[in-house]
Amino acid sequence: MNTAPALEVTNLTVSFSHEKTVVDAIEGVNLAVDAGQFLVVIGPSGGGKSTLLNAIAGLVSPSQGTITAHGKPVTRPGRDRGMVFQRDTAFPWMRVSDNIGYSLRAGGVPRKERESIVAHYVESVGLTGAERSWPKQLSGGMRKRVAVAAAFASDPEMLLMDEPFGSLDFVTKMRLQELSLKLWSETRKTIVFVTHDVDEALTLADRIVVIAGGRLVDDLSVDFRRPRTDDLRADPTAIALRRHLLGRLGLVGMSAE
Amino acid sequence: MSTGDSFGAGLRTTHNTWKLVIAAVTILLVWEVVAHILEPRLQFPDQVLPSIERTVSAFPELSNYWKGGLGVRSTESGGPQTVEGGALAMLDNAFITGYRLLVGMAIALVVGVGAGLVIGYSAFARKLAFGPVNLLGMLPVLAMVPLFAFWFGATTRAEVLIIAFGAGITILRSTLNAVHNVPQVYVQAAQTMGAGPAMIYRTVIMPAITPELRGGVRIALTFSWSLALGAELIGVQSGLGRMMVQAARFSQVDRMILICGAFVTLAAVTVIAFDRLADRMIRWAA
Repeated sequence: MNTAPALEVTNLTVSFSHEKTVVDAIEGVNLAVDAGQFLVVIGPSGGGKSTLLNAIAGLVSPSQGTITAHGKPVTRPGRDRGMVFQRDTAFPWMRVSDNIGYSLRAGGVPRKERESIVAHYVESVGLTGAERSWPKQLSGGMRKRVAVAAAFASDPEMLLMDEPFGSLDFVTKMRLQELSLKLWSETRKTIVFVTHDVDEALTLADRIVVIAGGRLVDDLSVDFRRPRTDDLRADPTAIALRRHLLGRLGLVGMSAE
Repeated sequence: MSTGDSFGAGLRTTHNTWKLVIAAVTILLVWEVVAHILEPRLQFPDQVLPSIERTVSAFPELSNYWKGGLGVRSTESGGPQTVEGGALAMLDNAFITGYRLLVGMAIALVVGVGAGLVIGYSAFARKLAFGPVNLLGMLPVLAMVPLFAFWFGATTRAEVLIIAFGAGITILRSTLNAVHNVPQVYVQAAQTMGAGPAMIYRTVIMPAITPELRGGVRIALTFSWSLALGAELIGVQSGLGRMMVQAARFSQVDRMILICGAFVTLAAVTVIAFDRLADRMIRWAA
């Protein structure tokens, strides 16, 4: 394709004043992401991967360098870049359907249209019957579905996901990964997904970049066939890649290098 | 009960009416027993702790505080002391005190929450306000009742203002704290969904603070009953507190207990009503 990248990060440095921990800072990161790509950012905790994502979201300002999303410089958060957070962000004071429709309300979408989009996503993420529930009445996994639906509902050009399933149990996590892939294949949105889970990265990614010590230290393309099944665990290339990534996460001795 | 049940949720109180009833009955029993123990041992037992039956029999004497009307003559104009007269006096003065309290609380709510939301909008203003507001919150407001009486006279206005001031400070502090405590991740989530500052304030900050604010308003409500009583003790010429002063002047402990009972009942009713209302308004957090 001959289009400009959906996301272009150029020489990005983010440093924090002494109030924040210095380890989360990033330095001189360059990254270009094509439209429709599923990019997974992986790295040890405190390595700066969440900071990179927050900068793309516009929640923290770069100290140096620039970020361009679909041709426009990023200066603040916007509906064009939806985000799913690690923490529970479904507003407890809004019912499920109001949560999912929040971004549409912010964007001034008329009620009728809003309702039909919300209905579509309620069904799509498997929340049928829970539209009128309060978030506290749902399980953690279902609240995460609300957050995912809310992020997709405004039809952003890009989805930013910050360790979204980190706090969920194994089965729920797998289900939500499946859901993310389903929504991605339906909408073909660009996704930047931060995780520290190597298996999650291998299940989801077209491409994996490793951020450690505030720098981009690895950029790997992942072209296993989709849908990826459990058989991937036995694939020699996948095993090698997995070892390589575990080594990057600091699990010395498991590294293939 | 295992050790784990003794703390936290295991001790969480529910507003069960029957628990209140048991507490009330226990207090009445202890009162009656103590009164009968004291009676043969004191020269003027009725000026210390009259028994329940003596206290109840003093109810018609409250007719003295009835100004007349509704077919019941005042005792000043030669009417007899009656149960109806006592009841009318009690209702009339309870209404007056309750009215002052509600007006004062309404002002406190509007000004306290309003100012809290305005100041809370900017993190800088919030930090700037924390010191002075907390300082005001440390003032013993009851001690300022004479000052308010001096400024505004022994009037309903003085009483309403002292309630508005005392309760308003409590509510303002509570609003500022609650705004400060809203988890940042909710604000960030709203930002990434395209909400601007005004929408975030309306749809995130304001609903998010309600559970904490509820606690503050409840404390202010209880406190405002003390302020109402205090203002009437010092000089305001009508209301339950005024009845109390007059009964105290003549050592009429039985009447004082009756008036106290009315105060406690009214305070309990307003707090229970508030809890019910708040429960309905904040169903999402219950």
